[in-house]
Amino acid sequence: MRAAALLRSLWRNLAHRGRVEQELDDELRAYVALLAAEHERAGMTPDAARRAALVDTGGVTQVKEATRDARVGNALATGARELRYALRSLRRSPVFVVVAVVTLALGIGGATAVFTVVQRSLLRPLPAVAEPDRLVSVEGVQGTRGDLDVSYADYRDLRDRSTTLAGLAAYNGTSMAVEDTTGATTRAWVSYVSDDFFTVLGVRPAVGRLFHAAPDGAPGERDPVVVLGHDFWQRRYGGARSVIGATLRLDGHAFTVVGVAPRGFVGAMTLHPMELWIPLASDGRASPPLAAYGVDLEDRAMGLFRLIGRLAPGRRVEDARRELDATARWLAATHPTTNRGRTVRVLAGAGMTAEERAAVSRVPRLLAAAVALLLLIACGNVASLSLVRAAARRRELATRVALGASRAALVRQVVAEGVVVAMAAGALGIAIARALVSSATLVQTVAPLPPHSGQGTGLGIDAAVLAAALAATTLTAVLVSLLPAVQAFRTAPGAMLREGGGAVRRRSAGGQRALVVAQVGASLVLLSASAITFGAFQRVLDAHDAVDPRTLTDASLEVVASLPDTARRVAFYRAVLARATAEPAIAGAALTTTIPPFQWSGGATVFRRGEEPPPGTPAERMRELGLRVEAVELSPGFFDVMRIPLLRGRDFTARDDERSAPVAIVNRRLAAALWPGQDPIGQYLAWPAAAGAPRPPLRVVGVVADTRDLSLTSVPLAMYVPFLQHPGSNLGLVVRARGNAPVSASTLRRLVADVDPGVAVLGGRTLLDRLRAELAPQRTASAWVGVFGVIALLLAAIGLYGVVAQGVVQRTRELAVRAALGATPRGLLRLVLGDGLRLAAVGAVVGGLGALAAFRVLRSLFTGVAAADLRAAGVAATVLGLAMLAATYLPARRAARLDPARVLRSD
Amino acid sequence: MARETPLLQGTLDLLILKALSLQPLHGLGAAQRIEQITRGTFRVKPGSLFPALHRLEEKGWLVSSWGESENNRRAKYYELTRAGRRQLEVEREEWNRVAGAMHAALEAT
Repeated sequence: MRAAALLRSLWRNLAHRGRVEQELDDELRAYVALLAAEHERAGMTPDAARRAALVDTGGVTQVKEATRDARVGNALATGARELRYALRSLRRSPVFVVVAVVTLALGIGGATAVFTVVQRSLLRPLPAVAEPDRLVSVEGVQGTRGDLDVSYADYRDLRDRSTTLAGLAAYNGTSMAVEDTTGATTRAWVSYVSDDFFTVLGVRPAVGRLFHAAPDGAPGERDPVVVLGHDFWQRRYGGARSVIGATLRLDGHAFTVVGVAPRGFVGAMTLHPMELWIPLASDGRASPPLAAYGVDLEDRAMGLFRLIGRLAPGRRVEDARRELDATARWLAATHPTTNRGRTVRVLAGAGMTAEERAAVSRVPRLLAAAVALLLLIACGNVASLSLVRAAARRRELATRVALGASRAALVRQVVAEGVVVAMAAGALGIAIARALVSSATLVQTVAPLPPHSGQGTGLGIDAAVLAAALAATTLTAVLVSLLPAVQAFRTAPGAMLREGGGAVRRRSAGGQRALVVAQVGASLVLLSASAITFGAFQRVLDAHDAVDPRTLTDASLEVVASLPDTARRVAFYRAVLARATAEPAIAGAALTTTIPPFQWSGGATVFRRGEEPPPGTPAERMRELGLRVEAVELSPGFFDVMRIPLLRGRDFTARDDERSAPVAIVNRRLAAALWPGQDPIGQYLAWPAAAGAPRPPLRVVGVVADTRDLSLTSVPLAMYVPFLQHPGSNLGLVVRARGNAPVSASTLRRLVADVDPGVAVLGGRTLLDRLRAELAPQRTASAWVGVFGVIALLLAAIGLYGVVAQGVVQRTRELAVRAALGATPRGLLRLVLGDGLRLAAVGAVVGGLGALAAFRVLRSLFTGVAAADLRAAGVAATVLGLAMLAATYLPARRAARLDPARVLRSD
Repeated sequence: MARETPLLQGTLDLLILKALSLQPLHGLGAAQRIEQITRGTFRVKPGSLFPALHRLEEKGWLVSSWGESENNRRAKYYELTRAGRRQLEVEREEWNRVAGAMHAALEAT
């Protein structure tokens, strides 16, 4: 009954406000009239009676206000009213609203989008895999080194002795020459996997079948079969089902297509998407392409595989860790020659190693820092804008206080304004974040994925991130809008109204100036960061070690597959070199396995002669003892073509062949590492063979300049050997154009076809194009930072402009007096300019310190960053200075043009 | 004229209910009735009267309607509901209990 009455009243009060108000009005009017009538009856004149009645009533408005307060739902109604009032009040300063909303929205949207993508990229699970959170990775560990591959025999024992894992699969991948039914050859990433690979990952075929896993671990697949990646299937066969049963040749070996993996599936390595899968063994023996590399599945010294497992139901990672560790200890005890000191590490999750996660997060972290800084600047900017606006309405607030507005009412109103601004900014920010997150550019920058992996766009916005950004901005908006209200209370309204605000100006100015200093500083940090990264990127493009990469073209030749015989292969290479050199458009040609800064082959271990371990030492142990270097097989003339300076000794010649003594050329770093302070020429280098016939020591005949790898962070130790003495690999052909026009891919294809039409030619792009493609993510990242930097610059300029302009408005009278007393326009200009620029200078000092810190961080993230980039930061500071000058000059000019007579008369 | 005394917290509602218990009254009438039955001790100002009237109405103890005053003026009349009468009894007992206790306390030696 009472509740019903309450609800009825609430409904009436909220839904029929107009009628309720009207009734109250009527009621009070009736009250006054009745009272006046009584006074009249007591003998007063009608006028006096009415006046007395009004006095007795004591202020109709106050009575109404008190009655409204007593009503149910008053708070709600007041809230709505405050919102309406806030909207009306904001409508009076549209510029403020637009600037504040857009600024905050940019901050919210940018921060949300970048943080969302960053988070997704770091926590990205393996695509198209069942229950990825139940997967674990198992790595080999030896001493301090982790992330080691595991031999097949060890894998088999680990798998068969495990009860904590529902399954454990072995896999790895390599690039192979793939010849399809039409005879066309390309390179594709091929993963060789244990038969249970797809079962462990919980993947079902899109077409056909995947691999059969025998339940007892016995050989499942008996014939060489291949499963196609969904994208490869679409790209090469247009998604035709008739591909099942077709034959592909992988590195020359025939494989039958049996199925297609589901869309999006890239294998077990997120960053290395695979396109084809073959069983690593058929009928119990290593698959033919692996056998061709000398893979022996029973050799425990041959660490070849990465392992991925699925936890059995109810088991946790710790269980698997204990169990596999015990198995590894048992293996070490049983096979001491190969397994001594070897253990395994079980890591939760799959797809990326810890190192890969760290590497992947570099650019995202940089962007996240940049965008967080931007959000801060945006908040600071809105804060200082609010202060400017607050100064303008101080008189209004003082008036309201004087008229008896309660503190609560004032606070409610300014908070309502802040909330309105923040809500509008939030809505716009969500739209911006959506647009950014669904834009392929951002995703590719932050979380680059190869285009054929079939995923990457269409992420949802991270709700938690959005909430945090919204909360931060709302808080800022509310706090800064509270400042004027607080000031209104602290100031006696009478003083405010009497003195026109001059006396109370100084107090707020301090906070505002601090804000401007912070903003200028933060934007200098962002600008410098963008200049520094841009500089680093330019250096990669311009100042990398490849001289004039525009006229260098390289293509890889698929020779091993078509010419398995070494003698014929060498003959082919010689003929290609001769043919290329004869081509008029080509100034120089060479063969090589590697072109700096690309594709360092990785993985040779060398020693000073006499210090190498005895033959038969396991490969892992050897790698631990020796010096890891890049081994590049190449033809004479390579250094000429690449214009890598030969510092000492000689280049290889045609006489450094299989019949002459083995020789090597080292780079300066390797020479210094092996023979510090000695002449490296004539020294001997031991490069023990991991398997097969022992390799004699190599005599060093030359030293060449260092070249960096693609990261530009490091110079690998490099050893160059003549391909004639190591004729096992596919070589690439690299040619230097004679003029400015690069040699085209078709030219290279034609001249190789002239020698042997059976050899496939892949690639054929200029080095510059390859560098550009390789560095695209870095470039996009630096472009983003640049965009943030420019926005920050604009915001800081707006902030400074606001403060100086407001200062001029507030000091109008003072400036006019100065002018009247004889200050020249020039003097006034200098006065105001000096004021603003002092602020900018303090900000620049603060920002300079910040930029130095940022420089250190960038140096650890982008390897190309060098001390020279601090000059770029100097350029950024100059740009900032010019912007600040412009922001200060406009209001200063207005001050200089003041007409003192008019100003002094008007107030 | 009798000395005016500030209203005790919570007594205004009781006084209004009591004033309206004999007949429906408009706002001014209620104020005058209270003044009369308290022998001029309490003079209720419109700033407290109207909020209280509205509050009691929203609690369902009063209903209001527009009517003609004794000298033919339109006025809003308030009338006790059944719940209002029950409330008057409740508050009266409560008050008597409090007043008795206060009296006993102050007269105790």
